[in-house]
Amino acid sequence: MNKKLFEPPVIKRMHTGMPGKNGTSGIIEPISHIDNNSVSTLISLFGSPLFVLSEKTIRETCRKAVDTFQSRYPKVQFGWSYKTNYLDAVCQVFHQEGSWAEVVSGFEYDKAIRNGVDGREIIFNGPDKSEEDLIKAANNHSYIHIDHFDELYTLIRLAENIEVKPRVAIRINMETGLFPKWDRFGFNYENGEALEAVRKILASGKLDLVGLHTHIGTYVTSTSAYRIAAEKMAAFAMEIQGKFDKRILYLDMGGGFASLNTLKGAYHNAADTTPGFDQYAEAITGPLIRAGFDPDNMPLLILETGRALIDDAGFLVGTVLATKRLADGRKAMILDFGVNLLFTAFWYDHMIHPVREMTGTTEDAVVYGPLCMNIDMIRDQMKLPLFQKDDHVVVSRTGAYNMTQWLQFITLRPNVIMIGMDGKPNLIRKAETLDSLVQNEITPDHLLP
Amino acid sequence: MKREKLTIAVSGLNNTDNPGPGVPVIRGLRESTHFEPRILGLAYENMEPGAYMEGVADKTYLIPYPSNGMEPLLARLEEIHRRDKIDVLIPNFDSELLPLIKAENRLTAMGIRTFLPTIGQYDERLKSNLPEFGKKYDLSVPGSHTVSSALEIPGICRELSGPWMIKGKFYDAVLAHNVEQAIAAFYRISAQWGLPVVVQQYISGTEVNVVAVGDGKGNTIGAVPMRKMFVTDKGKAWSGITIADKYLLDLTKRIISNTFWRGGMELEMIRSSDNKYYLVEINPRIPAWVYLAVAAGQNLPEAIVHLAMGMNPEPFTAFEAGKMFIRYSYDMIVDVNTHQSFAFNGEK
Amino acid sequence: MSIHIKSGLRISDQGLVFDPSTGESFTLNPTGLILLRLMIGCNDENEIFRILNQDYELSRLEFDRYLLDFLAVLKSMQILENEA
Repeated sequence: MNKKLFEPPVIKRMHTGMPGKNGTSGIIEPISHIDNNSVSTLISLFGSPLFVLSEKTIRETCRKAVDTFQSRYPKVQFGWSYKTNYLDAVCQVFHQEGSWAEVVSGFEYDKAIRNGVDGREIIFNGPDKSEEDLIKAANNHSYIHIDHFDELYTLIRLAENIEVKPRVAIRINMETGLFPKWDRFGFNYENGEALEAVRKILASGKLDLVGLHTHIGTYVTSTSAYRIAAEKMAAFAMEIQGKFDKRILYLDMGGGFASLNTLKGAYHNAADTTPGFDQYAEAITGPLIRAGFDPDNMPLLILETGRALIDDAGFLVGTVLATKRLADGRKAMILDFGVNLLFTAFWYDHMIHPVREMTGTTEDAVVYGPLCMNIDMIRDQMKLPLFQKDDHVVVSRTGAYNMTQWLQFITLRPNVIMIGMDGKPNLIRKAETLDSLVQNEITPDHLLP
Repeated sequence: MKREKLTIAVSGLNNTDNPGPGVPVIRGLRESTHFEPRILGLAYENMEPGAYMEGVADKTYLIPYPSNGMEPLLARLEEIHRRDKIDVLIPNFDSELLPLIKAENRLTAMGIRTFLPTIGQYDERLKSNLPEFGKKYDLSVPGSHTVSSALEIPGICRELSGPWMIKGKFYDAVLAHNVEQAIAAFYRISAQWGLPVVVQQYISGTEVNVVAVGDGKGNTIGAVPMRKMFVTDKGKAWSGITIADKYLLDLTKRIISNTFWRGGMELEMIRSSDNKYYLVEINPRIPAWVYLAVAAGQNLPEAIVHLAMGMNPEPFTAFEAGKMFIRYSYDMIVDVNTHQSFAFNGEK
Repeated sequence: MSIHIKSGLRISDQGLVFDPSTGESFTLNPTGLILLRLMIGCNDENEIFRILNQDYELSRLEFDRYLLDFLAVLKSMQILENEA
């Protein structure tokens, strides 16, 4: 006689709301395969935890975004936001798809050059550019987006000794109805600071003002904010043309599109509130088309969206180290990755999927990472299926920011693989080892063992 | 005449001291002279009183909160619809409106009819957009600001004279008489309903509300104004009286014709001591006191069902002024087994 | 932890539990229901394991792990009585 499987016994205080028994809540879809690769096999090949990226998803998402904008506006260029995920393989996929590089530090700039990106296709943003960086970027004909007056004067001074005329844009901050206002970056539009910056640039005769840049926020779900920003950018470009007879060649609308991850504290699920590319595109391109630019000389529209292009393509795969019972009776689960790898757990309620089919029974649980540190918590409360030790889990939508903001704290960073268009896994970043970590350390002779 | 049989699903059965409109809507539907309704109650909580009241719902189903995501809610509605075909759905729960408006096409495809405002109408009248709404349609509105940080509150309190109503994005409002109270209210409301929070100047005067239905083409199908006679400590009407306020009626018709309002709405207005009207809020659904309108001669829930069914109901032209409602509370006795079984099986 | 389940619990075949002394309601999954009923009739864990093992694929180690966890929850829900 075949014996039945024994599910862990569970008793729960009766909840208000829907019991999982009805099958419509509580059940989290298992993710057993990523691009036809079994998660368990990937773990046996590459270890746990493991970041898995899908090349197919990246390309499809990127093409969808590009098509959506190009079908509404004649001249569109995407710039891959390096800080969102600057693993070489990821950047190359975007560059193959036609994206320029959008970088915010000397390190990122050098990485883009190393990736073979033409200097003319690098947008250099951010408040931190050294004089050395500025000279290099100017000589490479990159687009330098000036963030503040100190940088503006530095660049005018440096331009005296540079052969080429640096190609610049100014970053503009503005009122778009969003909070918080990102007025720490760039020059303010409403108080006339941005116009003053333009005046200074043109008066200097040393810099070639080619574009205007704004970046209104991050994880912005309000398309009306983009509409307002596009209206103001277009109006400003027209004003510059009228006042100084200077044609603006491009408008860079930055990034900030939301992904489908649900922010902590949000009432509605992100899937119900996050606009699609078409809604963002409509909001941005509409005002540009109506602005009254010369139809034969429409400014190029540049977009630097990062999160929305890569989040869905990333999965963090891991293993349950233990389940335990807290003193107050709540269930807790400990995984082999925590905020060290899933940095975005600080602001998202990440969805943790099982790999195998689970019953609909759930328990309210806390999900912890492996770090010996109290703040290492991935979910403070989640209806969790009955995971057991050694079960595998998959966190979906982890492609953005985690592989750049991850911490080498207490433990080492794991393998990152990308499943290629052929469905085969490629190792794109090797797990760190003790050696890779200590290679930059220098122990003085008298402290050697 | 034999009345047509219609299955109508209604949510908002939370007939508590801060009641949802479900039960009064159902009372209106039950009095329809045109159709014979079978009522499916939709409850989010297993203790919503409407699920237990005699003669209200023929059958009640538990459904998952919209905050769990649209997909589980739609899946549950689809499952209910498969077993118990729904002709018309009347949602009455504030936070379900937006997701259901967005899902209208999918509901229609399933064969579930609704008659809800458009997303544009829903967004335009959001509390945070009220100043622009007032400007666009030439209505007086109290001064207000949308805030996302308590740090902004002292400045706003200097700019707008107090007291102030501190309001949540979807729901809830607290009266604050000084900056400290306003900040405390900000924290309480933002913790529950998220950001942003609206700080609105409190206009003292008489609270007058209008329940109305628009046909989406600019016509007002019905409208009944009511003056609140007694409010609870939560600011909810405990009793009210229908009033023949021509100005309010004209204003309602103007708003509906300018916005092409589709579906039920409640206008919350203040009539100040110098007889000026301020629009405080527009709720994109029928209010909990709608049965007063039914009793005064305008069965607006019935009209909404007609509109959802694609009929062109005759606009109501009159109602009886001077009808009053007085709310009361009543302790039902429920066996624990009934409650347990509802909670566990998700239906009763 | 010794097994002393509070007396007077009302348990339905569906797995609904009502504790009349506190007014609390609980739900059990199917294995929870089986285990709780066994525990009411018998407080010897060896005997409980023997009975379960007749029908279920269950090692003694797994059983111990599950029982420990289940008892901890029952205790937090005041269904498990402290020894007098």
